Amino acid sequence: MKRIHTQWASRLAALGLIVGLTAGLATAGVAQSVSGRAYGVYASTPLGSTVQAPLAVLPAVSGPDGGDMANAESDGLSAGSALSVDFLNSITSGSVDRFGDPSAAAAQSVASVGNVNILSGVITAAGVIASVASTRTADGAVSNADGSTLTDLVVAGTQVTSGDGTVEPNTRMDLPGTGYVVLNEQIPSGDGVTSSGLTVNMIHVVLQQPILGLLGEVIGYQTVGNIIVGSATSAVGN
Amino acid sequence: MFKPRYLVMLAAPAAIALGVWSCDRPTTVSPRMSKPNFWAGGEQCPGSKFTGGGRIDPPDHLDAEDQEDPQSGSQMSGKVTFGFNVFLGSDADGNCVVEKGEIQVVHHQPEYPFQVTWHVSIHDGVNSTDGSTPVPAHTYFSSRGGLCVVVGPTTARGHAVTLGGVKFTEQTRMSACDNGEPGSSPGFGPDAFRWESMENFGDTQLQFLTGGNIQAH
Repeated sequence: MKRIHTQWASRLAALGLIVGLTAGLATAGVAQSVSGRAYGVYASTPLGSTVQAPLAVLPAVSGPDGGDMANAESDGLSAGSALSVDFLNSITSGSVDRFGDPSAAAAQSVASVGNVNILSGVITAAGVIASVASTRTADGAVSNADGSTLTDLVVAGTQVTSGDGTVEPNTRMDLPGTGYVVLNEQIPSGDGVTSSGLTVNMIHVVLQQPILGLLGEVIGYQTVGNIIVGSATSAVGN
Repeated sequence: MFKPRYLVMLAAPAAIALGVWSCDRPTTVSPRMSKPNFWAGGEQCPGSKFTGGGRIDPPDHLDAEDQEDPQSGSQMSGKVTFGFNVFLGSDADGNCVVEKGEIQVVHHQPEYPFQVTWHVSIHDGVNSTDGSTPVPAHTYFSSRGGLCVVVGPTTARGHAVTLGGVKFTEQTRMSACDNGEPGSSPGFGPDAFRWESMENFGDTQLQFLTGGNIQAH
């Protein structure tokens, strides 16, 4: 009888030890991860090959001393009649562990482009900046796109911004005969507690073609290409 | 001889202690910090790293309270985007230096089309552009309880895109302050950044971020 009690006591003690260790490690914070990427333009059209440049991708960051940065730049770039831009710069950086807080992490990315001309003048802008930041602390994880702007943006003859301005997230404008454009497109990710991420595409043109029925009537549209100008992504999580 | 009850006697208190420890530790981190015990001021610095990136719009959001030195050269204005990652350490004489790091800064001139970029690269404690010069650094506490770092003066590779694609080198200096999380909120701040082009394009002065974040470690 005494032997049975001792076995049960040993098992309970071992279980308690495991629970205690698990709880302690969970509160102390598990390894964090950060990611980031930024690019000036992406174009995939029916008439041209896919380009994505200049692309900066944050290298893997880990450990208590983890931190890194990546950047890429180009003086100018064009993709046929679909797109021409100048002054492309992409920067992303990230790190884990803030002031010894192992639960902390941060990543931030910024992409900038000048002299934007899309679809032979259908969309023009003097400048585009996409800026995102994601942070995690013991209070939670958040992301924002503060600092993202469109300078002197004109869409299909409509002046959208004068000087350096912002538009509401996910603003959609139709481009008759071409498709539509989403301005300040924001795509969030994460649970907001232990993880958070955000992608902002400042100009996202969706190229569409009509789908015709048997009688030649338009019964829908299919996407045949995408053009993105000014894209930045950041994310933190575990 | 080892007996099972010894395991019980040892493991049970340990488990309780770990559980209590995990529950009692504070779960919030204050953005305000006190000076660490090893802080000695002067040119010494904690062995630490700073990482950041984002945007400032000089001269709109000046952080005059925490700007260490007065404006040097002309006021740089327009939009400035940046990213950096620097690891600090001490040299043989105890001076604070950058052990390794990268800094990229882009000045989008208000009168497009014109753009200037700078890049600083530091490896094995020396500036990669000139190949031999150590990069001085120091840290100080901001009035908001944050921690700031100053890197330089040090040589940067520059590129003025529409000045005929002119490439140049010049002395530059970066300042960055981590005043809390997140580094930028709608509007600006609390984190701040400064870039000094000491020979050609002027000084942004210390500006609150309009986007991005800076983290001290």
